[in-house]
Amino acid sequence: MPSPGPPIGVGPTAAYMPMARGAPASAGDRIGRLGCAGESGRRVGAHVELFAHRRVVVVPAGVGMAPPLKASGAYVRAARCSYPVRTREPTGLLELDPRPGPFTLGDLFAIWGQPLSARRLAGFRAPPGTRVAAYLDGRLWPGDPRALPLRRHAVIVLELGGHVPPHATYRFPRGL
Amino acid sequence: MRALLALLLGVAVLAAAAPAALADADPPSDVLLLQSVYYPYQPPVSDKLRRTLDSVVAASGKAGYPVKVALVESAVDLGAIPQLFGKPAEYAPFLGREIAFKSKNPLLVIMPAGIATNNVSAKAQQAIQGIKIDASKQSDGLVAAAIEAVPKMATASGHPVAAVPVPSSGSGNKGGGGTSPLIVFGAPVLLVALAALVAALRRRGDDEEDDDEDEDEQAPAEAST
Repeated sequence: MPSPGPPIGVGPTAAYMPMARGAPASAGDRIGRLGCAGESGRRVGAHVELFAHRRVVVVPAGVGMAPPLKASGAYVRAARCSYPVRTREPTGLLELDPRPGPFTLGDLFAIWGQPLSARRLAGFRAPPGTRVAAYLDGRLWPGDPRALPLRRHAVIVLELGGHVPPHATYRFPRGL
Repeated sequence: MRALLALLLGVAVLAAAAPAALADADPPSDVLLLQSVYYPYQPPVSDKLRRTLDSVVAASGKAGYPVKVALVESAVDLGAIPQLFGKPAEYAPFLGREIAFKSKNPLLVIMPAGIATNNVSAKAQQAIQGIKIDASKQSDGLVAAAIEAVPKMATASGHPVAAVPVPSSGSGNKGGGGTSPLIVFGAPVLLVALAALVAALRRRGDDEEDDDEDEDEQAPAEAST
């Protein structure tokens, strides 16, 4: 396996560390076809990494988890209810409840309460004449990034305002 | 022509030398932005050791030495860059640059293969040279090494922090009171019961030996339904 190359850090402004949820998810309201429910069965993992202007945008812990939350440091251990797509840690690791699936990346951003389109990525807009670049398992996704399938062990990279060679694989923790 | 060949060769060499991918998908880089210690996914660290390391790191911060600690037990802890597992000396500066945007904290990286640091003084580096990692204890072995290392690093850097004894973990916990009486007295009873069961089954097998052929003939018919 090749060298990972130069490391990239999180960007310097608040936009690089967005909030974990908007008003609907905070209230546990239904978002599209997805509801917030108590702890369900086994979840599976997927990974999402975001870059804006060649800096990391953090996918926070607690996306898809309605307060009150039980947090421990950087992690969210429990919530009043969870959506079928959620994060419990700020690493980009997604936990998917496969039963109401299949999901798309649009579902993640809708639950998160952040914009995603060909020109928007969370709090960022693509510079004029450019678009959001989406990669699935290291390959460029040619269509609408919202339609990108969110399946078990999908490795997704989204970029805006500059290219970062995407990684194609991710080591998922056992059980996901 | 020669110049063109040289140019092509140069481009090929540069392409081969260039990193295949820029990466930032190693969990410690994200977690350490929000807390001081990254603990491994698996196996989970014992609560007692975790509490001890958290308090040692907090004491170090209070003493003016806000160290960050990454405990990497397996390649899973490195997410998209598993190729750095087993290479703490390469991973420590890499991780240090990833988390440097907020502040340049001293950084301690511990893997089963060894210990490495970033942004620490030569004295701090020297102070932890002799620390051994008990890799047989997996995640707990890494935590034990960190509990020993952090006070030494802080103290050697002019921020005295008292050393803390490493608590025993898991089955070695003195609070557990040794081997359970249930195991001491229950195991022989269970063995005797098992022996009796085996003997009873053998006797029954002898009694039914004559019927075996009939059962074998019926078995395929049952399976086909």
